[in-house]
Amino acid sequence: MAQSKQWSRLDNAAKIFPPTTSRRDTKVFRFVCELTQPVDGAVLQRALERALEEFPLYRSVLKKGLFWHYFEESGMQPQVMEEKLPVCAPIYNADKPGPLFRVSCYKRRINLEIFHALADGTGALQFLRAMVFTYLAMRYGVPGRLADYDAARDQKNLDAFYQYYDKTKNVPSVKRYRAYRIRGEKLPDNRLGITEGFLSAKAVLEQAHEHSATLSEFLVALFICSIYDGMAVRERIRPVVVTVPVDLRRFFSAQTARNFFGVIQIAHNFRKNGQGFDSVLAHVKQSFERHLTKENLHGIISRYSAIENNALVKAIPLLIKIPFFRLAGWWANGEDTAAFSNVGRVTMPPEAAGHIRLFDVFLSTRRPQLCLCSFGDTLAVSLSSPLRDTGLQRRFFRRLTEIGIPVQVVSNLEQSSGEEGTHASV
Amino acid sequence: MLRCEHCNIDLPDAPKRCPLCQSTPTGEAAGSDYRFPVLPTSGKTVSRILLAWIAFGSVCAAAVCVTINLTLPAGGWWSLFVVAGIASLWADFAIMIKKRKNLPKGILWQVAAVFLIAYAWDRFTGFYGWSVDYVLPILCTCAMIGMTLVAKIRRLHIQDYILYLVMDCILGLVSFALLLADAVRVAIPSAICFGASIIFLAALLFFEGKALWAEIQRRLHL
Repeated sequence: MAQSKQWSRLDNAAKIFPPTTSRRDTKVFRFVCELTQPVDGAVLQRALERALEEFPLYRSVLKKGLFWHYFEESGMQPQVMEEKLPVCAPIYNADKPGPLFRVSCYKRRINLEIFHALADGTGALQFLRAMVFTYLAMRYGVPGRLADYDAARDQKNLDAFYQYYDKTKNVPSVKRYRAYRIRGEKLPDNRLGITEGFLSAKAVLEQAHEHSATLSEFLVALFICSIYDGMAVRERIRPVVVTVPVDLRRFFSAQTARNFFGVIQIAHNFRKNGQGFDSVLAHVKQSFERHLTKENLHGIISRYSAIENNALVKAIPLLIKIPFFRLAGWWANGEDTAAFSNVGRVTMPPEAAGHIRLFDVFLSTRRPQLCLCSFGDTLAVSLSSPLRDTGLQRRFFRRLTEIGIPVQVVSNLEQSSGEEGTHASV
Repeated sequence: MLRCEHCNIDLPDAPKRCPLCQSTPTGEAAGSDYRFPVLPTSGKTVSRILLAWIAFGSVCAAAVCVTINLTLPAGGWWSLFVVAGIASLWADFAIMIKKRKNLPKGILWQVAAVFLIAYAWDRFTGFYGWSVDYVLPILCTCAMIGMTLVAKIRRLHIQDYILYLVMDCILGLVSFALLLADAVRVAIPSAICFGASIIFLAALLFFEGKALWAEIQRRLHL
């Protein structure tokens, strides 16, 4: 008799992703690791196989049960491919169970694209680091091993929401906003426009510290001001709301390679809370301090988990749940203007770091989304947006250069422009 | 490296225009150092064009029939049958296409879809009962054999098809229940279907009982 396949439940945050996935919003995010030398696909394939042995959950497929989706172990062997799909192209297809991530390479870049139900940024980063380190060890004989992440299999597969859910906690009420939305013509084929800016982490940090703010607070304030500059006067009555996913591992000890994040919202109303960069920054700082307390975040975990653990919600068949989830997702879409996520500093052992230029991350999205991560002194700030218009990108990066921070910009916006010939002709 | 003087940014990718302000960058390109491959926006694929033509053809056929029927009304409203037939075919075809990646599931869906369409036709054409006499039991029996063949040929894991097979067997038992309730007038197909359902269910329970239980647990987890 064939051996019974392993299966596992989706964690709390993951449950919303499969129903709300669409061609326009694929719920896929991409991590990029840019090396100093061109990538060897065959070696990367072997590195991927090795990494999968350490992260067996990444071999799962997503299936539908009567009440919830679930992960099922699969024996499939995902293949590394030369990049030939648009960034963050759909991964999950309800009618075709397949791997929930994709590894591709192009020139010096290794791209890991993951369906968000499988993991969040921090979880995926552990997988990418393991894969890149193994690649470098195989290709260049880099010695040593990744010593800082030594989670056992059960720790990686842990549903941390479940672990920290406390029924007795007070659930904080959420303020609902009707946020300003940036509208405009979309890119063709539901494509995503990516504008990556590479900055000196030290220079930005110095600027932030000069304003006695953290990096996130400083950049969120800058981002909000850049959004404001593009608002029509009559739109300024609406607040600019920036959704910020917070990695809960920073506050609650967990080594899970799955999802463990909560979102907070930073709202700024230019009529009430003042204009000008300094008043925006002061207000942003205040909001961050108010939201980022352990008490408040525990409340967020309880709020998420209370829905999932509600007996009535559990007992409704998935077929009926799905439209409700879609509606909730659609509703939530109108509540923020943009999103900001900071993955933080990526570290690699020094022997490996010499072969790596930078790490970068961006996310499929229906509204502008700023993602940052830093490696060494390179801070990669990526703005992804489904809109053709690049006004926000221009205002944001110009604000950075105006305060004396040198910026290098690369973008995929010429990727789909057929009319001006191809890169190869240059 | 190229540079945009308006935005004060460096452009290591050597684009034709500044990605922020679309002005022409200045300076020397430092080689072809691209981060993203060129991906032309997708044109129409062959299957899309084919599908469009078939859909267009069937709409034309329906329109022509209705037109002829309207101009020569002597023979009754036969064009309604043509339109309903085309609609039924398309409904079934759509389900087939959508579920094509998972064959056992697709077969089960076909059983349900074809039976419902047959029942509707039966109902609106005098209700002679052929949909429950013949269509349901024959479909169920064929689906059992079909799923088993697919599973053997494609070497599917037992858990990839066991639930669909069990559900099909249960549909077979429903057909037998209809016979007992006197809703079925021709006994032979339903009787054969009943026999086959029992044999398949027994085989699954005795040989793959554990797998069945595991599958039920995971599918029904709360």
